[in-house]
This record gives sequence, structure tokens and C-alpha cells, in this order.
Amino acid sequence: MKMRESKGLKATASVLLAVFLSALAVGLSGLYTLLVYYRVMDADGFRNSYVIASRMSYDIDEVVRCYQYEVMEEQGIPLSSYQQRRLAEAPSHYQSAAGSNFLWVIQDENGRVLRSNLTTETPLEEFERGTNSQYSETTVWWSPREMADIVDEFRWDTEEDRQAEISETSVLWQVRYGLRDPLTADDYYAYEEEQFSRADGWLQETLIVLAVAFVACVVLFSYLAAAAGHSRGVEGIRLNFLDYIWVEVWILLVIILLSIVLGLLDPYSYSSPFIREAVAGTFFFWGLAACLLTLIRRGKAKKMYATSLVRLLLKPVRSFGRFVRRAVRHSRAVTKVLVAALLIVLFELICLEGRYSGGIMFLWVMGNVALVLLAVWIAVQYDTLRKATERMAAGELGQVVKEGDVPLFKPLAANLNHCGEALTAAVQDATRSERLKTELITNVSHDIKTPLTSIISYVDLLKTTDIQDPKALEYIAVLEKKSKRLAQLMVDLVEASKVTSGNVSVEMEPLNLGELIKQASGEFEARLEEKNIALLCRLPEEPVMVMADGRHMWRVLDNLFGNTVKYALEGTRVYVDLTVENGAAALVIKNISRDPLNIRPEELMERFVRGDQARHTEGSGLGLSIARSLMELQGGSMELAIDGDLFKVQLRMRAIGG
Amino acid sequence: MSQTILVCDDDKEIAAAVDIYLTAEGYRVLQAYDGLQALELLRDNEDVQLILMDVMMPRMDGVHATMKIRESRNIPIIMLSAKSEDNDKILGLNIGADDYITKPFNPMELIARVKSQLRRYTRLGSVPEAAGASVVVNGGLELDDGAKRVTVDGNEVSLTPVEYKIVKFLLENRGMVFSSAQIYENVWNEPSYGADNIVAVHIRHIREKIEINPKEPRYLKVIWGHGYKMEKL
Repeated sequence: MKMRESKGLKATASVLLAVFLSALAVGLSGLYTLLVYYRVMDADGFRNSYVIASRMSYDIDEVVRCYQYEVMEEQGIPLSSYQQRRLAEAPSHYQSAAGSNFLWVIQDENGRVLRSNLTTETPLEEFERGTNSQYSETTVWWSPREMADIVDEFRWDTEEDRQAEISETSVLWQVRYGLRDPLTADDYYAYEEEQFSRADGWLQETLIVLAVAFVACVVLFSYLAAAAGHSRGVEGIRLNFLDYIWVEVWILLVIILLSIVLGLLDPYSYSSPFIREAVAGTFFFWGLAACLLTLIRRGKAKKMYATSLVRLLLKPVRSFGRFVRRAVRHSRAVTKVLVAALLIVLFELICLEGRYSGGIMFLWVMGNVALVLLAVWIAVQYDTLRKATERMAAGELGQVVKEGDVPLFKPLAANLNHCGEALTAAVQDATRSERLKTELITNVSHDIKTPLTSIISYVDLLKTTDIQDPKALEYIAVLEKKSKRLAQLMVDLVEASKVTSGNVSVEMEPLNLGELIKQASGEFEARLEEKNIALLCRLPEEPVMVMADGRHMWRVLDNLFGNTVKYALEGTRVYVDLTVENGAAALVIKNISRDPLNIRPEELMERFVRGDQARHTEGSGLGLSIARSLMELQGGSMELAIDGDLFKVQLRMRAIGG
Repeated sequence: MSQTILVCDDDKEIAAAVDIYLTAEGYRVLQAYDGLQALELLRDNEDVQLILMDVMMPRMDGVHATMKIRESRNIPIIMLSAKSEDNDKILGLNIGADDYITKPFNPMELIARVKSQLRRYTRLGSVPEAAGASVVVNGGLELDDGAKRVTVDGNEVSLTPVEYKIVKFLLENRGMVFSSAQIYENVWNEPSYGADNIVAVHIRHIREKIEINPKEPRYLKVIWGHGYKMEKL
């Protein structure tokens, strides 16, 4: 499609199209002139045609006027400058019929000739005899006084006086006029007759011009239509400035041009129509072609609607539509306001009792409509804000409301957004600081572990040396125990920090809680036996399936059983009950505490809090905190209950089918 | 013949302590204090048969040193690090370390792991012992059904008949997970009832006997909430 995009080719084609459209207009105008105008004239014969009759009527009017001025001059009535000029510029046939085909005679009511341009060659008798086949007659009833009124109209005291004088001076003229036969003089009438006689001969030439112009126009227009909007090196459709004028303006322009052309196509016009029609038709065709091309470009670019006036005019309609849709979205608040507003209107209506006239009632109705719309507008904005605060309360922070949506409450919306952003920042800060804390703890623990490794290793090596002093051996034992506890504390600390900050991966999979309890109790069997604590597990016959991360669940049970080993009273029983109720799996571990538990259960789950205030035992105080955090990470929960010395832990998880 | 072990740790006291433990076990020990030094020592001493490598060290860290060594040597490398995150362990094992010990370490465990790695390395390429049909080999774990004997890294482990049956069953089905009930039914040959933890207790005992660290088993793994499996090595 290289050819299409050539700029020069397009410009040439445009100019050629303009030329051929002009030719088309000329041809059509000619055809019209030939087929309609002369044919109409032809209907009654040349001399009786409307054109010739009109022209003769125009000519005789002039003759009569000139003679009237002459009569007024004779009677001593002063002529206005206009009248003088008209008289001076009287046409040639007024004085003599020598150079004209137009003949006339003015007689009084008795047939006496007052004035004529007839000469000896065409005497009055011949005119009367009617040898000139066509002539017309008319009568003029006029008063020289009346015509003078134009100059000085306040010469009479009363209208009656004036009327009386006018009728007194009135005369009746008989006017006859016609054309010479044949038309021997060389004037307008002779020219028209010649054109008329030649009209049929022009038809063939006109048709050829028309056919050529039409084919050329079709070809050129097709090319331009195909190439419209394309230009070399540019992808897609490019619009030019003409395409940004509203579609409707173009259509209006075409309609105006068309109506001008149609207005000109008057078969009863005074003169041959050809030239004016050709010019008007040319403009019409140019406008039409330009309009069609711009429409094609817009159609290709799919911008017909975008460049229309209708779209601009529909804008308020669309925004009202949006307003209604918004009102529907916030229907609850809007309904309340509407009901209240309608009640008020109803109340007013009852009070008015139709006491006022239509005009005032109309104003009242319009005012109420405006008020109701205003109320709905406010209600919608209020409800938008309310929903934004609801979203905020539900934890959706950041920019919660678009300020443009609530022009009435703009400062409120801005403050709300600032709050949301500040909260987002605070939450991010908190998350980041929690992560930094975990990183810090991890790094610190690493730094502590390195010297701790030396301590543990050398304490161990110290044991292999030859030390006999029982005190030294006792001290070494303390060192060994405490350094190992320190190592365990570091491990627990890192884990607690990671778990509470959610910094651990959780791989949820279906697993059997019953099997897990069996496995865990197997792991602890020996240690519990050592302390003479009996473990009583009561599990359902069928497997209890839950979604959980096996390693994390083991860690939870490890901590809980570990606590039991550490804190349960020796010689007592530990009860482990697993039940499923209403789709929830519950695991309860109960044991009797060795030390009195004078502490609230919530506090026990805090980090570094232990049941024994003296901290004699080897725990880090992190076990329950880690266990609870792990349960929550897996979508479960952990609760503690203390009843005297009875210590009870309940784990809850959602059970899955089977 | 004493075997040579290279200990690489930027903390000189730790290197010295490890030196003492290993020397006491009869090994010849070389000490290096960073990765570059370790590479130099390794170049000068062709007979090094195992490396204990710290991770965080100046000049060249343990990860880079391990990668460098792996370009030319396949001797056992045990990572020794205070970094105990799972990611650190996975990274260490992925770049070519054979084992990973976290600090602070238990001296007994350290020696056990060193011995385990050395036995496997020195036995590598030699003819498998007693290649009879009745012998099942899984890494350092061997079960000779003819002699009803189980050895770990060549050391005989004394198991009770039930424990032996469990190990045999799991070894014969390496890589597969069995629940307590399935193991019970296969070993005892009778249906399993109730909330019995007898299998779990036996498994715990077996782990204490065949694993260096029962809490981090290499052979008999606990799949929490599912059962147990013998890792396929």
C-alpha cells in the first residue's frame, strides 16, 4: 500500500477531484438548464414563456413610471431626486422603438394615445389589429398628487381632504405592450430567443462532459477514500484538523449548501440559471466530498462519536446517569434521605392545599426537586465516606477514598486518607522493626554462640584433665550445666523471635493428629517414666485429619510435653484427650503442677515468664509463647487454664473430612 | 596409620579445642584460620582426608573455600557453623559439604560424625563387604539378615528382636512412609488397636542406637503426623 500513502499523489488527486467535481456541477447545471428551464419555457412558446412575460412586465413598469414622472413635471409637481434620476435614466425603448423589440402604447380611457414608442414602420393600427401575435394589456389608475406625496406628505389637514384630492386628480390609463415580430432588433429578447433555439444542440456535449466528470470523480474519490487517514511512515489512522470539527457542523454545512442549490433551481427565474447553479453546485460537491472523506477518516479511526457534538451535549446526561448509578450503590443512605424529603414535601403539599396559582406551584415544585437532588447528593457523599471508614476499620489502609468523589467533605476525606497512609506507614514500620529485631537477635545469637562454643568445649576438656579437688569438680559441673542452658536459651530465643514475627515458612498438608500424638508420646515415654509420670492418651478410633505443618505441630507438642516433664508433679498422671466436635479437633493436655501456679494463664504465655518465679528449672520461658505463635501460624489456637494445681492446655484446629 | 584432618576456623581457640579432641582420637590435625590458608594447606598436604570448615571467616569464607576445594577434590567436608538456620544448612549441603554441625557442638557428636564420614570415604571404591544376597546396605547402615546383625559405619549395633524386625522392615521398604499401625501389623503380624504408642517407643530406642544425634536422624526419619521412613541413601 505504498502508493496510498504518497503525500504528493494525494494532494494531486485532491486538486483533480475538486476540478472534476466543479466540472460535474457545471455539467449538471447545464443539463438542468437544458432539460428543465428551456423545456418549461417551451411549454407555452417562447413569447408566452414566464421568463419573457416577466421581462416585459418589468420593462413596461419602467415605461409607465417614466411617463408618470413626465406628466407630474408637466403639472408642475416637483420630482424627488430619485424620480428625476429614474426619468433621466429611462431605457432607450422609452423614446423610440428603433433599437428595441419592445413596443408599447399608453392611451387614456377614451382610446386617445397619450404616449408611445411606435414609429411609422409599426403604426398603432397594426398594433391594434393584432398582427403582432403577442401583446399584453394592462390598466394603470393613478394620481399625480398621490405620487407627489412621497415628497411632501403633510399637505392636507385631514385624511378625508387628501382622499378627496387624490380621487379628483386620478386618471385611468390603458397600457398595451408587445414584442416586434420577428425580433429584428438586437436586444435581450433576441438573445434569449437565439439561446432557446440553440438549447437542444447543447445536450449531447453536456452529456459527454457529465459522463467524463462523473467517472473521474468516482475514481478519484475511491482512491482518496481508500487512502484517507494513511500517511507514509505513520502506523494507524492520522486525523487532520478538519476531523476535529464536530460531525454535525459538517452535516449542517452540506445541508445548507444543498438547500442553496435547490433554492436556485427555480424554473421560473428571470434569467437563464446556468452560471449561479454551476457555482453553487461546485461548492456543494466540494463540501459533500470533504464531509464524506472526513467521515471516512473518523470511521477508520473509530472516532466518529468522539468528534461529535452529540457527545458533548450528552455529557450532562451521562454525568446524571453516573449520579443515579452512584445513588443506587449507596441506596440505603439515599433511601432514608428520600423518604424524609418526600415526607416534608407531602407535608408542605397538605399545608398549601392548592392555594396558589400554577406559576408559583411550578416554582415550588422545581425548588423541591432541587432540594431533593441536593439531599441525595449529600447523602451519597456521606455514604461514600462511611463506607471508606468501614473499609479502614476492616484493616484496608492507605488511600481509602477519592477526594474527587466527595467534594462536599473534601477536608474530611483528605484527613481520612492521611490517617490511612499514616497507619499504613506505622504498620509497615512495625513489620519492618519486627523483622529487624529478628535479624538482630539472629546476628547477636550467632555472635554469642561462637564464644559459647569455646566455653562449652573447654569446660568439656577441663573434665578430662587430672583434677582431684571435689569442689573444682562441682564447679565444673555447674559451668557445664549453665553453659549448655545458655546454648538452649539462644536457640529458643531465635526461634521465638522468628515465630512471633511470622518469619518462618509454613507448609500446610493433611496430617493425622492421632498419629502425631502417638509419635510424640513415644518420644517422651522414657523421660516421663524417669519422673514416674504416667501418660494416659485417649484418642478416637478413626484418624483425626487436620491441615497443619508436621514440623511445627511436633514443635508445639515437644514444648508442651517438655513442660510436662519439667513442671508436672512426680507420681501423677498426664491426660491427653483428642476429640472432634463440630468439625473442630481439640487436643487437651492436663497435668498436676509441682509448684503452685499463682499466675494468670495469659501471663504464662508471655515471653520469658515461667510458672516458677525462682527460675530454678532449666526452661527458657519461651516454650508456651512459641507453641501459641506456631498454632496461630497454622490457623489454630492455644488456650491455657489453671484450676488450683491443675494445668490444662487446649489446642484447637479445624478438622478436615474423614 | 593416622589419618590427617584439616580444621579451619577463624576462632583459634575453637580450632585448638577441635584439634585436642581429634588428636585424642589418634588423628593428625592441621589448623587453618581462613579459607585461603585452608586452600594452601590442602595444596601442600595431599594426604588430608577430611576437612572441618567454619562458614563465617575473614578473607575467604567457608562456602567459597568449599566450592574451590570441590573443583578438584572429593574428600569429605563437614561444615561447622554458628548459623543454625535451615537455609544455611541447605546452602552448605548444596555447594558440596557432606555434613553440617552447628555450634555450639557436642564433642562426642563431632567425633562420631567425623568417624562416620571417614569410614564412608575410605571404604569408597573398595569391594563391598560380604556382598551376599542377605545383606542390605543403606549409606553407612548395613543389615546382614543371615547373621541377624546391624552395623552403622562398621560398628555393630545391638538391637532387640523387635527392633531388628522394625529396622529390617523399614530397610526393605526404603523411602516409603509407614504409620505406627502399619508397622505394628507388619512386624507383629496382628491387627493394631487403640492408642498404643509401642511402635513410637521402639522407634525412639532404635534411633538412639543407630543415629549419631537422635534428634536429627539421618537414617530413620520421623514424618510427623504420618509415620516413619527409612531414608534412601
